[in-house]
Amino acid sequence: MNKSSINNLLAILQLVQKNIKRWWGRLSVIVILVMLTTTLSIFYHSMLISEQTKATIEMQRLELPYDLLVKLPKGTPPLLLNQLPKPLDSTLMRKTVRSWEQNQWKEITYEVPSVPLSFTYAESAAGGVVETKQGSWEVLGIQADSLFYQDLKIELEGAWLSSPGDIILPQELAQVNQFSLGENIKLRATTETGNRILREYRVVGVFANKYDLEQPLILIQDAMTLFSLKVPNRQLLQNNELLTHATGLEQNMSRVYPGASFLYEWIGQNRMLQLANAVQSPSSWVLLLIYLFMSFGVLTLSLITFLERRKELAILKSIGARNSMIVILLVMEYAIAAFVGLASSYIALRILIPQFSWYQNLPTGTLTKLSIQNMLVTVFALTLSLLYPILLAKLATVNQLIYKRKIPLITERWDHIAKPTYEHLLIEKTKNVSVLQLENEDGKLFGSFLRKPGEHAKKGEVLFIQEKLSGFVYREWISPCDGVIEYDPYSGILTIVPDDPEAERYHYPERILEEFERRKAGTIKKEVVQNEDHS
Amino acid sequence: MKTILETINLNKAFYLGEAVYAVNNVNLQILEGEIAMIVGPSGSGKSTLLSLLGGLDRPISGDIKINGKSIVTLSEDQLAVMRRKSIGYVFQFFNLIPHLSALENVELPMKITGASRKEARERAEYLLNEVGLSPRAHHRPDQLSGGEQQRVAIARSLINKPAVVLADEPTGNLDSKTRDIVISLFQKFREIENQTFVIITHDTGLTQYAQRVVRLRDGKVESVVVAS
Repeated sequence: MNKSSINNLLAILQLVQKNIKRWWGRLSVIVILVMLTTTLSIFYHSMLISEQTKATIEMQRLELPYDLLVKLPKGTPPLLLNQLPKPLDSTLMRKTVRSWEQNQWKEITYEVPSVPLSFTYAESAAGGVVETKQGSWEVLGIQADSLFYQDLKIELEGAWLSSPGDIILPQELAQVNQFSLGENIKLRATTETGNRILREYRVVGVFANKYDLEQPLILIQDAMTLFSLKVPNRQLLQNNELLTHATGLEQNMSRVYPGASFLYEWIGQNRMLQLANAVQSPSSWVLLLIYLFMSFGVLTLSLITFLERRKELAILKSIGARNSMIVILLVMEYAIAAFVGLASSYIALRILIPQFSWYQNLPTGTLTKLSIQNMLVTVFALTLSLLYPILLAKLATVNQLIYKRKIPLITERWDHIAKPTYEHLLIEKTKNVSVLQLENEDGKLFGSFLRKPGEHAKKGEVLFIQEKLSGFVYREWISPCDGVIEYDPYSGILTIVPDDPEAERYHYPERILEEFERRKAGTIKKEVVQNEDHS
Repeated sequence: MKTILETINLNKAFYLGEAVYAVNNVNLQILEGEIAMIVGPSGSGKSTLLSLLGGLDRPISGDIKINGKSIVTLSEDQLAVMRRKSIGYVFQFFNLIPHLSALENVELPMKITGASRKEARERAEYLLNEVGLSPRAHHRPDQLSGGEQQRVAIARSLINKPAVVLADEPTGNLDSKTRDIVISLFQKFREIENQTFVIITHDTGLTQYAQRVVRLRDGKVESVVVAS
């Protein structure tokens, strides 16, 4: 960058500073718009992320160690593995699941057989609802050597079930009710005959984190006694994890266990996913609306400001300011306003969000990440809103800006017909004139003559003007030679009869002329044939 | 002397219900170092002609040459650069930037060319002194009278030492004393810098200072009188 460019930039900076003082009201509105939008969107977005994170934690909490828990109806004993539904013929199908990874939802597509395989392992269990001082719980009685819980023993605080009267509590239940290891809990169950049985249990263990089944575990023998059961009323089943989702399996299980209720491993996850989707879909619309509101506001404001500042821009152009300078000037003003808006909203959010309880669930760095995302959207919206004023400033003449004349985005100048027809070329060739085609309908012209028919025009002179699309497009028809103008109101053909028949005029491309000659030859031949017929 | 400004078959029309030719087939030649005055009744197309010469508007046909180079085919950006180097323009209604002081208004065109702040400030102060506005240099346009704003606009047009200064009624808002100062200033710069001045005026008394007087009527050149 040379000294001259630096001086130029310094001049722009000085002007920006003065302009900000002059237009502080308008720029303040942009600051407020950006601030409001940023605060609203980031606040809302982070609240959403917090809820989603919470949902993911919940989802993990509901993860079960077995694939299916069957709650058998009264008197129905558990079936043997070979009595359970058999696998059907399998075909591969694509299955897409959503997964929460690295603070965002990702879609993972698997290829899975369309039908389930048989269960690979089964265990009998017993369970039911008990009353405690702390409310109703659903307890599950399992075998002491249950294979389903083998891996989970390492996540246990305390000891595993070993003797009658032992109970293991899920972590949340223990925390909420402040139970500690070794403490006694009284459980009251109501038997099928309506008798109430009260038993005391000693807390031997608490699950450390996940695999919290929301149900305390006791030994199966204890559960059978507590609920006065003759046969186990629960069955735990293991299968291929993915195949348990199959609809056929659900139907078949309902067939072999009529009246039973089923707790599938994936039920909790699906509920959470549905919940997350139910929130996420409208949320994206809300966020879009917030951003649209900002974009519309800034766009309107920038257009109004441009209309008010037309004269100022005209003066700058008249004293030699290039378009790039005007662009830098406008962009810098908006950039400063956007920066102030973004920075103040970021500070406000840093103070505001920690006041809310959901802040606890917000992953680290979320605010910064959202701020960067929001900054990019804001920059995009501001750039978009500046495009039109910048384009107008670039295209307009100084007088168009000063006298608030229409500024066409597209200016077309025609000294010939873009796509001449056979008739156009026929007139041009036979009469040795130049022709232009004006738009007319039933003799009504869409545009205005600057040189009237009958008048003389010089080469390059504008003969006819037309505005289209509310002034966005401006068309000029130019005289291709010195000559006298003639106009046919029926066909809309404007003819320029040249002063000098040899004068240089527009030459249509060879292919157009060849096509004309070919058609002309055909027409003449036709005319000759017609004449011969008449004779 | 060489021709610095030339128009060839220049036309400018507006459509106001019917076509009105503000400038109709104007052919002009202005020599370097001349003070040329364009006179004529209101609506004769003087201001339109001047804005065409300054590249502030586009003709519908014809050509304008400054220093032998056609400007009608230049883009807006090229015109801006051309104005920066070759043309100083004094608007009839001053057109000063309202939130800049008189001094800042005058120095801005020079800063745009990449001149240092110091150079621009010195030149602007010199010109404001020449037009008798040194004490008012730090006032904004709304704190200046019409005549003072006019003089600021004149100083601004001279800052880059352009080859041609186009002035639309530069003395229209001035009292006779200030008018004489401004005319003397034009003469002085014409002699020192060999600058050319094209001035629109209603004041027939001023024509005595001109080397060329162009009379317009209905957009056409009625007469051109060259001082012997």
